[in-house]
Amino acid sequence: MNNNFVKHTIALIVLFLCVFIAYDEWYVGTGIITHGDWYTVEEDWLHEAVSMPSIWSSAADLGGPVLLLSFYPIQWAMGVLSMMGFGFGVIERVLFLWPITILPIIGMYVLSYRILRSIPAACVASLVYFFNTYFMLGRTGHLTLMTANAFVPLIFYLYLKLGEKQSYYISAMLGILLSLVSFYEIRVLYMLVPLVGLLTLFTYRGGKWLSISFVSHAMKMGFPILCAIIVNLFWIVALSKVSAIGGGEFFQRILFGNHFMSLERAVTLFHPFWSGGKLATFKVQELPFYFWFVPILAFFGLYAGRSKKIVLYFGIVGIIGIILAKQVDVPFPELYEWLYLHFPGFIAFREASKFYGLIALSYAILIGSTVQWLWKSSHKILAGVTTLAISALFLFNAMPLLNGDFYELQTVRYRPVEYEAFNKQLSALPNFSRTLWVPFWSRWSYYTEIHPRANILNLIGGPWQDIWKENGNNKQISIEQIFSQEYLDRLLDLSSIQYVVVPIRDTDNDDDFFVNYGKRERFVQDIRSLDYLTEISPRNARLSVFENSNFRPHVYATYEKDTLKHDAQQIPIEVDRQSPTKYIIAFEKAPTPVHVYLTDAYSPDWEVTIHQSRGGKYTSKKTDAQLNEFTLDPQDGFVKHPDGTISFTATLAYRPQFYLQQTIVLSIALGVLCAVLVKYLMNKRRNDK
Amino acid sequence: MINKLNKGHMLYLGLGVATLLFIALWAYGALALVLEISIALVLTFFIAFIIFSFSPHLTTLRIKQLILVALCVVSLSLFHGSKASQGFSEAIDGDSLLGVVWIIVAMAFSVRGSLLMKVGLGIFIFLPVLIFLEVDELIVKRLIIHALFLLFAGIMNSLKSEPDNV
Repeated sequence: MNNNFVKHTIALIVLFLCVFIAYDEWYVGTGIITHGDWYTVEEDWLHEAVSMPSIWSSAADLGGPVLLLSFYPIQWAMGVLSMMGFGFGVIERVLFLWPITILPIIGMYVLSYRILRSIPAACVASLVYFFNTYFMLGRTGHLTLMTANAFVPLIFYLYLKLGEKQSYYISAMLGILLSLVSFYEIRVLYMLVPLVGLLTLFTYRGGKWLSISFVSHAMKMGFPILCAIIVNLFWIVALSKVSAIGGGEFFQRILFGNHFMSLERAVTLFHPFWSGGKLATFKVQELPFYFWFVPILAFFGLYAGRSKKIVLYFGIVGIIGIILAKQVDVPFPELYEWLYLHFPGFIAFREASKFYGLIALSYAILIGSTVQWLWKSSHKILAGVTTLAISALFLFNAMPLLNGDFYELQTVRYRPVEYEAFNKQLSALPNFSRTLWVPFWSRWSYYTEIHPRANILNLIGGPWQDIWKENGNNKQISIEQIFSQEYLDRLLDLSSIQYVVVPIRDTDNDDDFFVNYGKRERFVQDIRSLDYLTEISPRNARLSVFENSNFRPHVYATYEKDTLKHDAQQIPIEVDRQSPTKYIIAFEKAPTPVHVYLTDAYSPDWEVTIHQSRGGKYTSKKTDAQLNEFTLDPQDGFVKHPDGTISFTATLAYRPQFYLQQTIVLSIALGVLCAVLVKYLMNKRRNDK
Repeated sequence: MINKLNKGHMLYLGLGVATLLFIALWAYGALALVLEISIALVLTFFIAFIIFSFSPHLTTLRIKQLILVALCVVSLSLFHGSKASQGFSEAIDGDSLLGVVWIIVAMAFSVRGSLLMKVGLGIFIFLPVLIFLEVDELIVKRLIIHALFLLFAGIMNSLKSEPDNV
């Protein structure tokens, strides 16, 4: 057997042992793992995910445009696995937890070995990339981002291969991997594009820059990115047609976390919240002294490997990463904000921690280069001891996992029985209704497109804040204040809220947010005092559920305007819900004008088209409850009934969905074209040989 | 066809790209920064033109480079600190400006990349000592900036010396 093969196998076994020991819970058992921003979802939600993508979703709060539509293929895959009978515990492992732990190790190992040709260097590079503070903290909650980052070393490895030779197979593989990265986290693809552009310059060996050979090289390197963009075209076009995305708030956000990030922390690859022990989110930590060895080791590797163009490339990647990850610190303190405000797409990087990924990638190769130099230039024993010391510097970061400080995403969680029962009850309801969680929804809360969940904090910070301001108030409304408003009764009705729930103080599952928002009993008392809500759970229950019986249907019609002050009489209509963005409404003997309501958050992109009337198109108007209203007054071509009423049908639809459907077809067609082109070129090359 | 491009074509191409870049930066609100650097450079070349016209004995390339770089540094620094600069973008702080100077000097005089990297690395090795001695945080920060610029200049000059490919 090849001696090198044995060595590589042993090296990879040792690396994986380190990973498995640190993340044992992700490999043993299939229980649900959930914490922080990593939420679990119900089976109904997963089944719903196996459908055509929709650019509007009613599932959260009062609904809104889906900004992360790029995630749709992953949702779809989750849904398919669920339909095959797998639970969320298995699904999250297959699609997130296992790729996060396996891919970076293999990817960085092959990448660094290709560059440095040294097994100890490849091992250390893998450890640096896997056990640095940024990825360690990322794996406690931001799993989609971490999964996307897991593909990055493998992508660079394939790009280096592609840079050396023309291979349609590698091109196709890269196209698939880049698309996967974009599905998990589009921002990682965004970061990769300029890096690949720079790599194109570094891997070019044709001589003259202004030549056909360079253009051909650039096209070869750019083709996989083009494929990934084509695959993502479906949501890019559709989202560009959405007016004022998210009510415009998305584009009005200011930079976040300026005081968290600093040049020292970026240079030392030290995440500002890394305490070395328990999670300390949003608490900036002191930079331990030993972290200063990290840049020394990395830049020594740059010096030692300066004869290799690709090592210099990773040096530049590291410096770019540092300049961006320090956010508004010197040098160029205004650069980040300028990019955030003006550079297309950069608005998605509200804070700079994502750029730590670039530093980690660069330092992994550079520190590997230091280790390679050690093994080449010094005594084997000295090199071995130093390599172990460097590895220990990063392996030490795994301590919180081993001593149980990072138990949050290392513990299997169990859904409390109360949620189990309430979720079943919601699942059995045939008609649309919302559940309002006070003050915040539990991670076990049930939600689908038919039974959305809303939390009062999001509502008073968003649409309900506008109602408060329209009543002449300038300050932010509090939860206590909203409960004392007379219009709350009507607001709950008009927003289709059937249940108001105060969740369990679930300390076993780290699902106790009352520590941040105030005493649970106080919320229960406040809601009990509202006579229009009926408490349906036992008085001392851990989960308090209140019912609002007068809630409006999702789509309904009235004779007069239905407002916060006026309870208008409903007209019987038949609503056929075809998708979250399309409803067919049949009016039988309706008066004119007739007022139609959609109890989702207001968007001017909702419109009603009357089938029997030419040009009978009505755009949504904002109600005083910040929802959608259409005043239909069809006249032309209608024969009135003797009582003056008319019968007609209409379509209520979200306009950008039309573009989504069109571009899906375009995306698929272009994707197939790319695949056929690659296959044709592969065959042609084989025949030429 | 691209190979047949002559210097005239290149000049027009360069001007075209520069104009587009100028318009793009103007559109994105970074014109002030571009103006600041452009004015400093125009000033440099104007003074250099006068010096070289009236002093024909300054002929060697090294001397010309030295004068150009010195003027560039002085005018950039003066303009950055002058009243005329007020209201313009303050995107470049003093240390970054000096860092840019490192790069200009290193590129103009083709300082060996390895030497620049050694100095940059030397600063990083020296940093833990300063931190251990509890030296002012600001000094540490400024040293990091200079080390990073030196490393960057070192990479650029190492690339110029055409290292081996992987």
